Amino acid sequence: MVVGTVTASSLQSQPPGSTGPTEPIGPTEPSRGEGSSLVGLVPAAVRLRWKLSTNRLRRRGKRNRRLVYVFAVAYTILNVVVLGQARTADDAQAASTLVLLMTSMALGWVFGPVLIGGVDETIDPTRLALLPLTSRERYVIQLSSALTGIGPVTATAGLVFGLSIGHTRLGVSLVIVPCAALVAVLFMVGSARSLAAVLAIAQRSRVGRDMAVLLAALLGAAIFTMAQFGRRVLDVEGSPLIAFLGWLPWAWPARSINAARVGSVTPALGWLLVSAVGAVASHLLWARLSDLLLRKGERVAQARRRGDRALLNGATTEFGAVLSRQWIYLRRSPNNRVGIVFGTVFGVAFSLVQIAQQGEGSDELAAFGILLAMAANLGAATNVLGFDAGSLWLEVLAGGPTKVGLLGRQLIALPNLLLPTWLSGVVVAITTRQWTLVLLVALLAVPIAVNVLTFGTITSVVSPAPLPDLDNPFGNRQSNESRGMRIAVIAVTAMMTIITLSAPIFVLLGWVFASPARWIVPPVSLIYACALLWAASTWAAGHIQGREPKLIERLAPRAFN
Amino acid sequence: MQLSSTNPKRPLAVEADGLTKRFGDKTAVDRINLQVPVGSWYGVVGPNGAGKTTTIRMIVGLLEPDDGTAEIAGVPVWPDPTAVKRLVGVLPDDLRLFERLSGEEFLLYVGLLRRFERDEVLRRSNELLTLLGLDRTAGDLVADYSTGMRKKIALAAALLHSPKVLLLDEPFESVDPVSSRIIVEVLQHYRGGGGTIVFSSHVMDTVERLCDHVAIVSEGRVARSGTVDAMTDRFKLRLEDVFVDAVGAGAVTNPDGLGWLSVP
Repeated sequence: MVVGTVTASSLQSQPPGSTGPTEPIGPTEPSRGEGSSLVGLVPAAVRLRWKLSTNRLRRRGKRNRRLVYVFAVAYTILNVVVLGQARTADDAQAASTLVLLMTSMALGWVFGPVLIGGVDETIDPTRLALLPLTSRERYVIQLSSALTGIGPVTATAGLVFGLSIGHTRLGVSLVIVPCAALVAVLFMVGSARSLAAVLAIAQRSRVGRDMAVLLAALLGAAIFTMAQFGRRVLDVEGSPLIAFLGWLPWAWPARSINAARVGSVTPALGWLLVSAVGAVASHLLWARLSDLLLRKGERVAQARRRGDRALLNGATTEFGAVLSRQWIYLRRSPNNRVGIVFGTVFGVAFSLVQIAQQGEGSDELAAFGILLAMAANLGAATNVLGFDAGSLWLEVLAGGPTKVGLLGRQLIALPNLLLPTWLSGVVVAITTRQWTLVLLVALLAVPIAVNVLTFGTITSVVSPAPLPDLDNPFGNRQSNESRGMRIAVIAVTAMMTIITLSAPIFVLLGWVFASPARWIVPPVSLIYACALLWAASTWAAGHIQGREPKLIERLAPRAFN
Repeated sequence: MQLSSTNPKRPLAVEADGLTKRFGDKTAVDRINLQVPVGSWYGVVGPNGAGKTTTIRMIVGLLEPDDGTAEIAGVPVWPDPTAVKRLVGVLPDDLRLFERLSGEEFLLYVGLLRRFERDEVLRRSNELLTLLGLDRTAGDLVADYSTGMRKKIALAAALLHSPKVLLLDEPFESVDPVSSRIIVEVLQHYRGGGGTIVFSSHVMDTVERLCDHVAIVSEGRVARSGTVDAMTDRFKLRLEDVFVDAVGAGAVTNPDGLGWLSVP
């Protein structure tokens, strides 16, 4: 084919279908017709999402792949069994259970990704920004993608089959129940994606980002608390919580199913209609927010520029520089800010739930229970080398990370550990009036937190895991892939090790608890804990020596590429 | 193939002998030999994936070789690269820096890690920031820097301790002409003070213009090496042609296959 020359006349538009040298510059119109364009996009979007899911599984290896498939089938069967069990229950109990189950599932579906974090490129509208798609076409792609994948497919199958088995009776319920199940799925998808879009928009400002994180943490803590007390809620007849949950929009399909089950056709159709309206509204909101995201771009707000303080807070030594950098990152890094907000809210919730479950009349136990709040933020201390490891090469070239460097990294985890503990202490002190005892425990929390750092120092060098410092505080799901076992093992080992390291503190306290000498225990314990931390840091720095290249290979293989 | 002799009596800033690195079944670097004379400007050129970056990583002590040895100013890099790290400054291609520090905080941090006095670091970094045209944006976060600014701040960090050898991986990639010129001027100043520069690139014009020595790396091996003068037969040949000849690259064989890609 002869390649023509570009002239002014050749740049003028030509009728489609013309060939040869006079063919116009510019993209060719796609061959699909206008009417079929929306439907035609569905298979492509479904294939894309399915390929992404299966390719990701393929990378994890055959064993993990099998495991995921087994879990998917088991999850579907479990859903079918749990929901199907309602067939044998009486109508009132089945109705309460269904409302609780469906709202829990919806809350998990809608807010779960927020708590876990995650980026799904097939749902993110900004990934489609360069394609010549109308809003409708883009929405069809996003919806098709959102409904594809192992999670949505298994959840939908479980809901439709389980609800049909458990709640249908002869008559109109045979139609209403599966319809309500599908509406419920669509409602959950629309709500989840709308929330994700709202969060993406909120992240454009620092305050918005922090507020989004705080709200997510509060919701997470609420769900966690609800899960802890779920059985008690069901045991109470006419529970106000069930009544409240019944009015949440995600429970409306459940109310339709409950009405259909007992043969109340009009309320069943009414709730189904209201649910459908809610689902449509959520999808319209999602589409609108997606458009807004595209128009405004995806750039997130950067952290504030430096103030008038001395550079690196006046640091003059290596230790000061490391400590200062960690402190700066605690404030400027969205990941670290999320960590401290999440850890604080969850820590407080966790410790208070544990205290409440121990029953009343045990104020001393409650005071010591505040120490459990540290458990929610172990991650701040157990992976200090893995966080933002992309720039580790710079420290390695400067001769690090050294003992003081490791100490500086660890020490900055103290606020993450102590803040939730002390906040829990305030709540416990107010409710039990054990101010003195809570103050003693709050002081003891310092050496115990240092013991957590000692454990973290060892773990951070023995088993570091890459954790990128992303601008999107909800975007770290991928970095956690295949590392759930590591987190679980570390959590269990941490509990045992920290209890062992802190045992002498409690023995000493028990010995002098009744006397004023008990106030000596916190400072003495702190000296003991600091000695352990120093020893651990010395060992850790020696352990790293000579292993830096392997560390970089493990944590940031493409950091220098 | 050694086209020109590097004077054997001239001291070497960098010497690599049989450096080899394998990643699984793939041999990324296959017995590479390099002799970089002190005070030279040495270009390592090669196609993408030739092993340039891997070689530099092994030379600076960030990646342990499977075989072979490397020395910087006569100091062996392996098995303990600690001493060598004081002698080298490095500018990587894919710049992972401390994104949430400002430019001046970043330099101060690197300087303090290298155990310099705070005042000395501030003096040096202020001079470098001014020279590189970053003085007005020194308070901005590194995350907000453009690619050219990132290259410049990373170069400042690499120069801060006045290294004997500077190893630069694609220093001019994605950099605008103004920033390129500034970087070149700073590098020429450094070299004028006795420094040695090793830099990798696949932009032949830049290499031909700046370097006095060059090694063409292909598929993990040195295909040719020597002075630019000799490689180009006193500039009668273009380095690009020498490069294409050395790596054995062919032309597009079936241009008709892109018949639809036509402009009238």
